[in-house]
Amino acid sequence: MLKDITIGQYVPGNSLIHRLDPRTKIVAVFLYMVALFSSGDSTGYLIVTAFTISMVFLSKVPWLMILKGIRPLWIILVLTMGLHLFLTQGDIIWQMGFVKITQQGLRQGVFMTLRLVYLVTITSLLTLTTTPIALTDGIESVLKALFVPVAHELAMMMTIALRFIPTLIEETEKIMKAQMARGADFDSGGIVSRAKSLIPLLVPLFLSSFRRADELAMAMEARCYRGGENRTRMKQLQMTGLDYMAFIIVFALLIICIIIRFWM
Amino acid sequence: MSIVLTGVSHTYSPNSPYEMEAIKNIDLDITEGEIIGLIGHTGSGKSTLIQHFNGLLKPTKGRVLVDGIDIGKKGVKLKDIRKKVGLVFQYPEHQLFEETVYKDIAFGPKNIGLDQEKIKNRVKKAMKMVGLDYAKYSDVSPFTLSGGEKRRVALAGVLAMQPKYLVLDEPTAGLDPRGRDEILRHVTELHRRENITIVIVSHSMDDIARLVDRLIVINQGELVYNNSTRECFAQYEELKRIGLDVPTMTALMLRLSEKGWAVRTDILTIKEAKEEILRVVRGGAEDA
Repeated sequence: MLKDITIGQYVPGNSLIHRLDPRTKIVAVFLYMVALFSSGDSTGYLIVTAFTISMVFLSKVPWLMILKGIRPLWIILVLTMGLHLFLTQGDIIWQMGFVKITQQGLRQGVFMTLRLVYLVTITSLLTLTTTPIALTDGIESVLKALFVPVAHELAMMMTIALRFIPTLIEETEKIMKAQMARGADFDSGGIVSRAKSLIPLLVPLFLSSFRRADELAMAMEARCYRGGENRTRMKQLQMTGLDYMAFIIVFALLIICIIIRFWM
Repeated sequence: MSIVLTGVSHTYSPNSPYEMEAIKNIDLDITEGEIIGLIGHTGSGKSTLIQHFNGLLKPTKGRVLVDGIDIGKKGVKLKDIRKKVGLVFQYPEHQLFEETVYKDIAFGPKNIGLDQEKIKNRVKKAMKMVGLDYAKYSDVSPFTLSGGEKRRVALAGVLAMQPKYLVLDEPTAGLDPRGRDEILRHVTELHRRENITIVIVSHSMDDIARLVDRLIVINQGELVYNNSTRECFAQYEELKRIGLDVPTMTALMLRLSEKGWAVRTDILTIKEAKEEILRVVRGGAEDA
């Protein structure tokens, strides 16, 4: 159950996508999003779909991992599809009582759902192919390029947060099991009793998080951590030919999508 | 009655890049009234194995029967299994959450649905079993106690379920010698007086040698030995190979015999060692 959370998970590999510079990937994801949101017809979607599928292929990340990332969204997806399908006005193609499906609704529903699926696919592809450390390094330099004042601290906070997601999940499972061994029940009952049943889980979890935070702060200070001032890094990020290629391809995608949207 | 495992395997995250078979094809039975030790290197699958005893994990292959009930079957009331098999995790004090010791220990009995009167009796009894004075401790916040006391509160929390089987995962880890001795003393008493079947996971071979009758050794998810403690520790070379040790006294006798003393090497405790050394020294003196 908790193990299914794929945020911040990394699938080791050495594919073209894995080898890209994290900055390239972050910027590319933003450009991709713009392209995705500017396409509004079938030609545009066809291109974006082809692009998305080929990216997943290139990354060699198992499809199952991608699907697992999308699965928690199913309620939102069904809702999006349903609302567009049934509530859009237009040319009716199917009707039963007051329930009707219009051509425009169908189109809108499919496009919107695909949009969400692709959004999640590409962003999870980013985290699945980038180590958390590389990712935050990338975010730090992107933030710096945007003149955000406390770029290093923000990036460090993100690194730590990402780093502790698996730890916290593990801890949660451990405490859950310990309480289940004492007869606790987390999966049944009404909303009130379910919320109440979380207390034996959350109190120990908070306590151990504070303890961890304390220990980590101490350990960082013991190693003379003092923020981002004059900080150098061991691994300098380096753009290669591959990154420039990637930029060209993503820019091409963006321009094509915009041209299709506004001039065709 | 007993806990019986037949051909139990457990695979974590099957069909993913992180797939890992933690235990493989384990056959095991734990009969009522026994006190059993479980040893193995870190990551050998001990924790995975013990979570099968009370149905926190279900085998991906094989069967686990607790008093004849198959825990993998659909519709099995796992709460009943967990009432029978108490599981005390590593660092159990990290699971404490209530404002008072009383409330925390009462958590288990309350989950079973007992009435106030019965809960109170059980809490009292459980606290007595771990040597915590009811009047002194019941209204204290568990977070103000010392490490050893906290651990005993957590242990009482499981004992209040009145399990027939008690599984302890490294109950002495991180405690000072006094805390360790106290916990072990209570565990022995639980076995002797309350006749609770005990499975104890430990990295301390000395504790194991002192406490248990039967020893289960697992390595990389597979059962290596399942035999009397003395016979298991006689395989010291094999144990060493899989990264385990023998009790200090066994090690001492091995060194002595290496140096040419004709001592028996199947010695587990200080008392036995003393007798054996005296026997050989005196015997040797007579010969000379």
